[in-house]
Amino acid sequence: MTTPDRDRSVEQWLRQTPIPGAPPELCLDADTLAAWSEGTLDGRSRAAAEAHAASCGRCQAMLAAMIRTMPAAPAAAPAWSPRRWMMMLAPAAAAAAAVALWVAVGRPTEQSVLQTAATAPAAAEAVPAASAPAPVVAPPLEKDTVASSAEGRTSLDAAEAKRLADARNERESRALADDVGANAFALDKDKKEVGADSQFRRDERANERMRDDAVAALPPAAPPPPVAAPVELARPAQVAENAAAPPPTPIPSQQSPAAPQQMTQAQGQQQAGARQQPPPGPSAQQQVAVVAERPAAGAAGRGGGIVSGRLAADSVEALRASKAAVAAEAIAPAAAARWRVVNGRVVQRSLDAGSTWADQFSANAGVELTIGSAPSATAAWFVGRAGVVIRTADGRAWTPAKFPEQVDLVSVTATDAQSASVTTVDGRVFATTDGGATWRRR
Amino acid sequence: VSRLPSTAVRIDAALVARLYQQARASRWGLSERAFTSALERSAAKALPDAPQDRQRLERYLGSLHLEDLALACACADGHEPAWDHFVAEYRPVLYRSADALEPGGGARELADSIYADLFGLQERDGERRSLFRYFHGRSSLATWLRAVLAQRQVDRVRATRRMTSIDDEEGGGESVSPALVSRPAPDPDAARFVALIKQVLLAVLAALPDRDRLRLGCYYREDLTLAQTGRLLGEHEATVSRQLARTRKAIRAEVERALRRDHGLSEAEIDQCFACTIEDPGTLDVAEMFGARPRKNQTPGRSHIEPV
Repeated sequence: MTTPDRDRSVEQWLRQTPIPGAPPELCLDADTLAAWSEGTLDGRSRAAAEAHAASCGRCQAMLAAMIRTMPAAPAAAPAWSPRRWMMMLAPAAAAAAAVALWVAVGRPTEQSVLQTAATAPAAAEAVPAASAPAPVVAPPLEKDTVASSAEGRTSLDAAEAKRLADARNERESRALADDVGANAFALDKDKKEVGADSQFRRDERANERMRDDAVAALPPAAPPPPVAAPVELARPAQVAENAAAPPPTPIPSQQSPAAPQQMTQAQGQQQAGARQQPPPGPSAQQQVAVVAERPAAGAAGRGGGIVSGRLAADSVEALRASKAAVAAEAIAPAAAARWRVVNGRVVQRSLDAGSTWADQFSANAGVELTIGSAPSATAAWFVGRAGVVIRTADGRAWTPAKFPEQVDLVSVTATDAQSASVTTVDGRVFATTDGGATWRRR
Repeated sequence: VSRLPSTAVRIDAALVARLYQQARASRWGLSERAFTSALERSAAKALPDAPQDRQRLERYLGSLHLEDLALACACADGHEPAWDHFVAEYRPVLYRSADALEPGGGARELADSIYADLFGLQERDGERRSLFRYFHGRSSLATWLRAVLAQRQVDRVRATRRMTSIDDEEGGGESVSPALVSRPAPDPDAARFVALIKQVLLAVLAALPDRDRLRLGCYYREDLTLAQTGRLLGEHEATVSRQLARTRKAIRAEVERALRRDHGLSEAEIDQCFACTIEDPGTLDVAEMFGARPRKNQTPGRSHIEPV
């Protein structure tokens, strides 16, 4: 019997199995039921009510009856709450930041980026700590993207490309076969719900499968780069110049302060303005730029899971080859070491202030990494849709972190390789201090 | 400062006056004292641990549906204008809810019967006890009425089902649960496997987090849609779907693990366990262990609410 068959068995059991009972004298009263229904129970009361209802068939039946009698639109005007505002503001703020970024930074094409890299003269310099934005927005993109190697800068050979493509096709075929079975089984469900439900189940299976794949496919350890270029910092004003600067002379590596780097509208404008200013004097502070790029139009849709891999070509060349347009680049304070996301799923690192990039990590088609934060020269985090979180603690090997919900993540603020906080699209903030193994809601 | 000895909640008189005005309680001729008592009862119920925390108390009282609370108090005290307003405004709400529970109109009688309790026909210590006393303003009056109606409906159906079950079983015949009918086992080990699955499944379900168990119950036992389940739990329906899938997967893995580790079954035997429940769903009537019957797809036309 296959795993999907067994899963269908579980569904069948659940339809027939009663919930273990709870003492009836503790059942929820009408006042509590009504307050729950309107979302006005405080946290502790809500938790207590849920704990009881989870084991009480009578209360579940009452809750179900309540829900069935609810009008299509909420009868009462929703009470004000910070969370409601956050839910409205988070997407709006993200959209505003994206627009500001677009306007402030412009929409550099692949060509413009390359031109910048070729013409800007200045070498990396130290940066003041206060000016340290970094992450970025990277919408989805073409399914077939860059395949390039980490630091090796060797071209991806055709056999490897074919192997990757075959593996992807096989996974998609398996998913399709599972869907057929699941849809057939779902026919006994409410007809109105079957379509949406099976779609959700399909998404869920795809996400789970890809997450599992991500863990399974992670390389045991990424080899060290051939040249461990240390980080030299530059002012934010010099980002554009630095992006084109020649590789800096290696200097002893310094750990940067844990400065979370978030790209906001104000920061974007500040950076745009900063390019017009003369560079200040060198500073001892180290910064790492995290750069993401806006993908081209006609990109692939969203999806789930991550597949890791060290690919085999210089990314700039690969970008040219794959015709993946670089629409925007969010620029952080100048730094020799920086990361960016290309096409929403390929993480690249530059050790020469953005002159050259090498792929470090590639997610499966459909995965969307949207924003990142790099608190030091060796630590960085990226988050994206459907609860995708990846991080590196040594600047080379990326590992997925297990986020408790498959909700879109709109920002990340990391303080080191172990500690970060992320904001969900509905405004909730979760924090981890153990590298993403556990998360606590703030 | 007023005080209710039973709750020991103190509400500042100025605050009461302000809330009284906000509630427009004077239009019903409601006394400030009666309104204060209602506020104190509400605070005592919602804030049993910190009734003297002034800020928290003020915040809580300010969040109440004060106009509805004043109307309920006035109705409980028997003020005519308040009753007229209540009947005119809320009877349609009750009827709509009753029709949603039983589209055939069977629950309207139940809705009408609530009026007697709202007025308070029963007396205790020489005092009429109105059901309105149990409305504390944490929700709107309409939502509270729907909750009261839902409670009555569930209890009525549960009581009816118990009687129906006995009748059905006495009559023998078609409606007896398939699990109660002896049938030749397709596999000599099937009975053992089914018993094992029952045992393991119940243990796994009991060990689930509360929210997961509630989500499963709402979706599978109560047959709510994803959207309804999400509305109840404050989750998006996509999240509900994902969480259900995750929980199902966890249950399957845990059942497999328990069968393998605790009961020493081989992979082939585990396969047989799953297979025998798929081939013959009737044999996995775990509900019989609780004196209940399988609820889904069994008796078309009946209410969805089942005894547990």
